[in-house]
Amino acid sequence: MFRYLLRDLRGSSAARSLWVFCACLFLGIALIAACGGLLQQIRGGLEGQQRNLFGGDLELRDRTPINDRQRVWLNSRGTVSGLIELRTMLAAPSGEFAVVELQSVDQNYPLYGQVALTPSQSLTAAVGQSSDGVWGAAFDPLLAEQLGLAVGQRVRVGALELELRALIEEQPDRSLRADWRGPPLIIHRRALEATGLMQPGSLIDYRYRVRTDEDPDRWRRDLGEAFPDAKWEVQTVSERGEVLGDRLNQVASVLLLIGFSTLLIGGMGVANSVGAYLQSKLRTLATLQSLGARSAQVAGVYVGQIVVLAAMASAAGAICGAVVAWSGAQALADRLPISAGPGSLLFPTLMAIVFGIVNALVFALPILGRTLDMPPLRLLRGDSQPVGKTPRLFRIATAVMVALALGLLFAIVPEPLIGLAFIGCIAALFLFLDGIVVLVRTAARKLGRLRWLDGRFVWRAALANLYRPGTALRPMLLSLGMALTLLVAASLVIAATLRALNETVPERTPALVFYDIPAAAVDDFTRRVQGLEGFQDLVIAPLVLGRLSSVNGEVLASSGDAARALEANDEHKLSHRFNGIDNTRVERGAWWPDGYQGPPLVAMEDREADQLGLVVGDRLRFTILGQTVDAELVAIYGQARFETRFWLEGVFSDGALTPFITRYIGSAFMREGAEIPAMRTLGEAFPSVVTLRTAKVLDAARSILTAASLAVALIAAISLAASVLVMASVVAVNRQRQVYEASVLHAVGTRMSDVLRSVLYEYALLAGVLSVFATLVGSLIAWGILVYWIELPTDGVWVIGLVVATAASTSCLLAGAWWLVRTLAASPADLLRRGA
Amino acid sequence: MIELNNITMSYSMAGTVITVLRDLDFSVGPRERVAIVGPSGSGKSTLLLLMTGLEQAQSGSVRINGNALESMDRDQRADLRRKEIGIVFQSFHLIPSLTACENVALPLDIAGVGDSSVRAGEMLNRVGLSERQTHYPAQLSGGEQQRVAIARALVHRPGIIFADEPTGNLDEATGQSIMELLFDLKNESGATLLLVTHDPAVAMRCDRTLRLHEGRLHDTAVPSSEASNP
Repeated sequence: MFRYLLRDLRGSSAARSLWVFCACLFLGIALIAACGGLLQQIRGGLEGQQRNLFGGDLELRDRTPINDRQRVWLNSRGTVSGLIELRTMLAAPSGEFAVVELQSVDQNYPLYGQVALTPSQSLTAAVGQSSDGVWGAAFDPLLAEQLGLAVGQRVRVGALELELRALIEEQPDRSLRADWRGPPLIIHRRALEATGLMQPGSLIDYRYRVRTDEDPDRWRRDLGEAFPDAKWEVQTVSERGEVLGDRLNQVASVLLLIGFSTLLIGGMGVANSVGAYLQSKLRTLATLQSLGARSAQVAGVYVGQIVVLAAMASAAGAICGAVVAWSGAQALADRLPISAGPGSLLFPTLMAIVFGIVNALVFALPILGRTLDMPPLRLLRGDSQPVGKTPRLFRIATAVMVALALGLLFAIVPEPLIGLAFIGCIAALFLFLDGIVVLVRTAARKLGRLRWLDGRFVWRAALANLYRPGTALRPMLLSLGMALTLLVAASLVIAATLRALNETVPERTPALVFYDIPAAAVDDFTRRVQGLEGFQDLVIAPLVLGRLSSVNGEVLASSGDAARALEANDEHKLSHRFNGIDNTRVERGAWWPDGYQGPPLVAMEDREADQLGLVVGDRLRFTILGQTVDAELVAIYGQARFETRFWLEGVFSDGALTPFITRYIGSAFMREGAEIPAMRTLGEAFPSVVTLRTAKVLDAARSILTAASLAVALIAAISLAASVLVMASVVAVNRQRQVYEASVLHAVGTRMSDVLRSVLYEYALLAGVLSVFATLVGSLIAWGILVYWIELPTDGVWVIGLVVATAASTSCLLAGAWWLVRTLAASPADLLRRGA
Repeated sequence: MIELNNITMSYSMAGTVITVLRDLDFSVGPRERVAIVGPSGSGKSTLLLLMTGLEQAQSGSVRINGNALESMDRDQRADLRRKEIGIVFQSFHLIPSLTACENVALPLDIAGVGDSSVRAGEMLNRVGLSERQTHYPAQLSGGEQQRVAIARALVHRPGIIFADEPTGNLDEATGQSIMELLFDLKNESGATLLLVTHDPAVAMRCDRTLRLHEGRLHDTAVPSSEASNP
């Protein structure tokens, strides 16, 4: 029978169904491989970037060092790097002072990435003690710029003199937050002790970063169980709370969503093509049976054929997809840390090939089983709709293949839980669409009985194609409905993400940011800035540090909730709402009206509010400079953009903080190139004001986000184009029978133009139903994903769903119609012969 | 009236040109019954499809009731079939998703005739399938399918009936009853009948038999038993 298998394949090579089958499989698998490969590389790059920025897989943060028992536990569960941070002043040899973030690191630092120093040396050597007993330090370029420091100079921190041994060219976890706290200065732990700054009451951050292969959430659960009373704050890399980290997380989620959608849409292309191919083989199958072939032999032949064809088409598709992924990765390689070696593409490519074969068998086996169970005579008579139950053996084999396909799905996509949710969503969508099929059939049948249609054959034929038995309505609506809905959902999520990425770092950003402007010098400072060469705009706002001491009467320091108790120690950056200095967006509640004069009101930043479980309406008490301020929480806001990075944690109604204002913060917009002379001028006039140039930090952030945008746009474009092609092939596959019917209609006297008109009406009806369904349901899914999973604003993107649904459904149906027109252009006699 | 002048038809297959019809000339008069016979592959079906406008010759002219098919476009040829021609295929060519009644009603529906279902029902009744009106083709036997096909070919009362080996897929007894039906209906309607057949007995029932051999037609002028009583 193997010989027959090959002969039949060779003889079928001229048959359209074989090529349609191969083309569908090729497209579906190319789509999966391209997106899978690119996804793997970009997600890997993004995750690496996030880990570098975060400094590990988890971080424990406390105001006191951990004890020995805790240290032993941590060391037993991963590699630990301890970091102590302290904000203090640095005195330059010139006598100038600047705020620095003093960092003491251990030998495991950094857990991810590398520190690059100039002149080149190890961090240990740079911060070590020289033979003459002087401790070394590595310093940030910003510090060098502010104070004109150079390698070899000596600076003073606290009671200790330090030698500047190296400039930090690259620090993987250089927190963007460090800029407002002060540029980093890395020193040895023992040097830190020698500064004399580690006094009781000092605000010292002890950070313990952990590198582990374990699931970070499980790791944290275990830690919580081992030390239930510990007051530390534990964060995983995925919870990284900065805007940039949030954006990268959102991009990763979007890529995952696209990955799922492509798997499904690609899989659907495979399913439809397998069905159509076997359909074209039904008579041959019956002939073989009538010639004495046993069912097992016939099954062997066709399972063998499906495997051979699926393997060849999948391999071609997977290789083509891998090439696309490789090219895409190359285009992004200079922006994202992509390890674009061909080896990294091997796994997704192989998985795509196996997925193609398994998927083909999942859909081939039930049809084959039911067909073999039918009396051959029925097949020979042209009954092409096998009915009845699938035989037990085929049911078992199909179940095994389904399990294998699901296993592969979870191997291809990185987050099984989301995978399960996705499958659940697809199952619900499937049932919903099946309901729509029944509705469309019923409606078409009822419309078909209208007297208005008497004598309107074209309309009647178009409607009849929607409800007659054996029409392609169900497979078309199920396949296209599912694919379009996912496409709409993915497009909306992508649009919202791209918009967020684009708006995160706005085009116009302040050139300089100021901290610690003394209240007494504000007017003078303002005048001086306004008089600077290239000045454009200045915003000044007070900055008051205070602690949240109680919520609705509950004193946080004595709270049983560890997070709340820890928060009592935390100093918050508070301000008035002033010209939107920190670009925020209210998420819950509302700002007070302009000119509000009543009792104090406060708005809190979402991360703080969520950590403490605050809700709008809570009564909050703050302790500021030893005094208490009570205020009602009326709004919770989020950081909308990556702009000044003041990240104010609480904003009060005007006047509430006035008695406590001792200093201000500010941001200035300047003409490009004017900021460096401005810094110099201001540094001389106001030595105590910390002035930061934002360009470098913003450029870095912009570059990362642009790369992420490009990655999303690239994958989305590939996915969209390939999805439309797959959908068009689904239409073509399902329309093979229509060619035969059209030929018969033409033979009995229907004008071909009428045949085509009826097809166009039918497609227009289908496109309408599909577009409306996909827009509504896809938008609903996108809304759920954006609000509950990715957490991005949803406003202003909805019209994109309608556009994508209409354009995609119209283009794939038009492609199907074009295929039909081309096919029908052949001699009707030929078409009839083929159909017979 | 059917007239063929200098018809030549060839196929190109795997690089080889096969000429199936060479300079054919013949005509068929109104109400005439003509059988076309010949060995398998001699081009009988091609010739028949050529006369229906479903196939086109490389050269020559086909006229149906004075209409030159080669000067008509595809839609005009379809119009001609709808109004004046009925075709019975060897493979029936019923639409699988339509019931027997719907299949028969098709030519009337296409023409926009209002009472198509009633007339199709009457026609099915006439071919002995009144009980099978709502059945789909797959639920019918070969003979029944061919009866439906005949009913469809005649329901719009065409002036010319083309039948391409109408009993080729049927057993002898069923074939005979189908031919009886076809001739009876032809006689009732007074249409011209042109049929392709292998069966000498069927050919004998026609006024004329044309033998197609190596692309040329030879009029055997076999007198039929019914020739004197059309």
